[in-house]
Amino acid sequence: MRALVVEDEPLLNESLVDHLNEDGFTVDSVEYYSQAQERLLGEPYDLILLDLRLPDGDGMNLLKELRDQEEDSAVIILTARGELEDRVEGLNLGADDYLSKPFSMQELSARLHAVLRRKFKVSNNRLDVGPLSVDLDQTRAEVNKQVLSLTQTEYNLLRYLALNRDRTVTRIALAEHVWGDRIDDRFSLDFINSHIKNLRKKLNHASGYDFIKTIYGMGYQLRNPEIHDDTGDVV
Amino acid sequence: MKLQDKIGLTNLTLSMVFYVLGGIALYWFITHAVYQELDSHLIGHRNDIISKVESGEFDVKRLEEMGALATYEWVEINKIKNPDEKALKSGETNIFRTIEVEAPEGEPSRQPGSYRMLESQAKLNGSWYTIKFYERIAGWHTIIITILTTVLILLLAWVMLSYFVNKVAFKRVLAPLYSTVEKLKTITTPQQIHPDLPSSSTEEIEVLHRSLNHMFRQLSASFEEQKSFIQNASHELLTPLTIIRQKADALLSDRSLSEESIARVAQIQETVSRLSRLSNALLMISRIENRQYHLDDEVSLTEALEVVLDELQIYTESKAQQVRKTIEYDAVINGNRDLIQALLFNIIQNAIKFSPNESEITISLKAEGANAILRINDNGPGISEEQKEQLFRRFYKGSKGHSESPGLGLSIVDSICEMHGFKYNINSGAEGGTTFTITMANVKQFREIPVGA
Repeated sequence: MRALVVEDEPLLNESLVDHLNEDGFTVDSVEYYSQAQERLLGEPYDLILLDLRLPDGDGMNLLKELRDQEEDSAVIILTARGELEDRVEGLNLGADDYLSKPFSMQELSARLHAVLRRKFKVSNNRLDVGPLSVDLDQTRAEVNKQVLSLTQTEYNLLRYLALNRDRTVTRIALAEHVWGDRIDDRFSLDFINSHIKNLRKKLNHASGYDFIKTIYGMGYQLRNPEIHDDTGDVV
Repeated sequence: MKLQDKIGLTNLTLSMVFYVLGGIALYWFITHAVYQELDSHLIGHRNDIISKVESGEFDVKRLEEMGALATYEWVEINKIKNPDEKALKSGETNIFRTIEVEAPEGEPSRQPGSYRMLESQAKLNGSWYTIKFYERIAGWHTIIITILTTVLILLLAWVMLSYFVNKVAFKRVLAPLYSTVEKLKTITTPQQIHPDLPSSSTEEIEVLHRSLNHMFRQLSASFEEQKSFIQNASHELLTPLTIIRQKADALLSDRSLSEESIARVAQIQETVSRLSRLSNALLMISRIENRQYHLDDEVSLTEALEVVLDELQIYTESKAQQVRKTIEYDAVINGNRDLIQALLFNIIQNAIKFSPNESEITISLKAEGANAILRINDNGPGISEEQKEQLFRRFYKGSKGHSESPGLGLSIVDSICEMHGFKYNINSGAEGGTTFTITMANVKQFREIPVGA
């Protein structure tokens, strides 16, 4: 799939390109409004990441142009957190989702997936990690075809880990995913620990495997236990 | 009172004062003039009679009998029994008096009424006599009253007419001033300020409009500057933070990373998270103070409380804390929904944070007159007086080692309350426990809570 990154900050641009590459996209990137316009004249993109504040124009106008051209690309706008009007206007103008800065790459992955699914109307959306199957549309997960009984929070965490499988996800990233801006330092990380503990127990109980690896007490990783051993190396 | 009414009434009052004084003065002058005329007439009679007696034309006896001099005029003459020559000679004593006279019998010329009398002494044919001349004023009185009444009525009519004419004239002339005042009344936010007051031919209004326009331009410019500054600061702060965050994330994909390195990366992420929350809080406060948030939502307090308690449920559950609600009525308030939720979130989160496990937090919402009173009470350690003062200053950290949390939460509460016109209060009991009270005056309506809700 083809993606276009429109971001004027070079380092951020680079990060986004790398990450999208990892996720399997063919990525073009530009730093200016004018360059973006040129690109959009060519073959349509499946995904566009659009920063609203560009040095030579307002990203919002680009969005308008895009929709006027009836392009069917999935668009995620990048805004500063707290700029509610930007978000609302962007979504009204046809953006599919937004990401508030600063965001983690894992959050990007989670959103990407939701957007693409919506755009291309893939139904029966599931993510399989070995015997585990996580439903991406509803609060539901199965191990060996047996439904797991999960709380909403546990499901959210499992889904996030699944979307970022084989990657280390830090506790802070998990906390931000669940609570966004409402994190409280003292409590959030402890909560994450206890919820993951419960989640692990449930997964273990259902499958006999430990799906979630603790990474040096800082974070967690979800990987297919059938092909990885406890050290995280592929068997 | 309106300006034009004030001017009109002042004018009217002063006019009436002058009118009354003028009326009195006019009466006095006319009367004085009339009396002058009468008095000189009487003196004329006196001198005339004295000279006629001395020339022999008249004789005293005849005068004594004559009495009437003309219609409404007569004379009385009496010999002085024991004249004091010295005293009489030394001064010409002419005394003028106004007297009321009853009708004497047998004197048809002496009508009852007011008379002007001249009492005089003169030496006639060797003897001293007291001579009194009388002249009737009644007729004059009628004339005086007629003149006075006519003039005063005309003046009064003039004053009244003047008042109404002025009213109309002022209204016209002051119209631009009033329209400016109406315009000013409608301005409540910086976005409503427009430097478009028109020129006027009236000097003061022209000056006023020009100055106001100038001030408006500056206010608008300043507001816009602040707004873009905040937006830029927002962008400039958060973009680099995003980059740091992502580079840190990218590091984690490196499987060869040692334990210490991973720990450091996690710490970088946590610090970025803290910084970004801090930036957002600061930016929110700036935007509140720059009046960039609208207050047009109709916010139901019970709904806002539901949302907030829902978000905080994870904490209360883990601390095994109970939240008890006592809500008499739902209050619907004009304000900003997101900010009011943020307000409630901050206060209740604090209550949760500072209360021990298994304690109770009570929330009550009452109506007091036209105000809604919200109270949030916890059973934590309480806040001392010194701490109270410090608490609302930005960046304050509580002394109990909450070194991680930025102390902006209550600063945000302060800003949001100020913006909405809410009054708040924190009180701690002697045994501990803290009650946060918010008094909200913009209550649009109070609603019954449906049973079973």
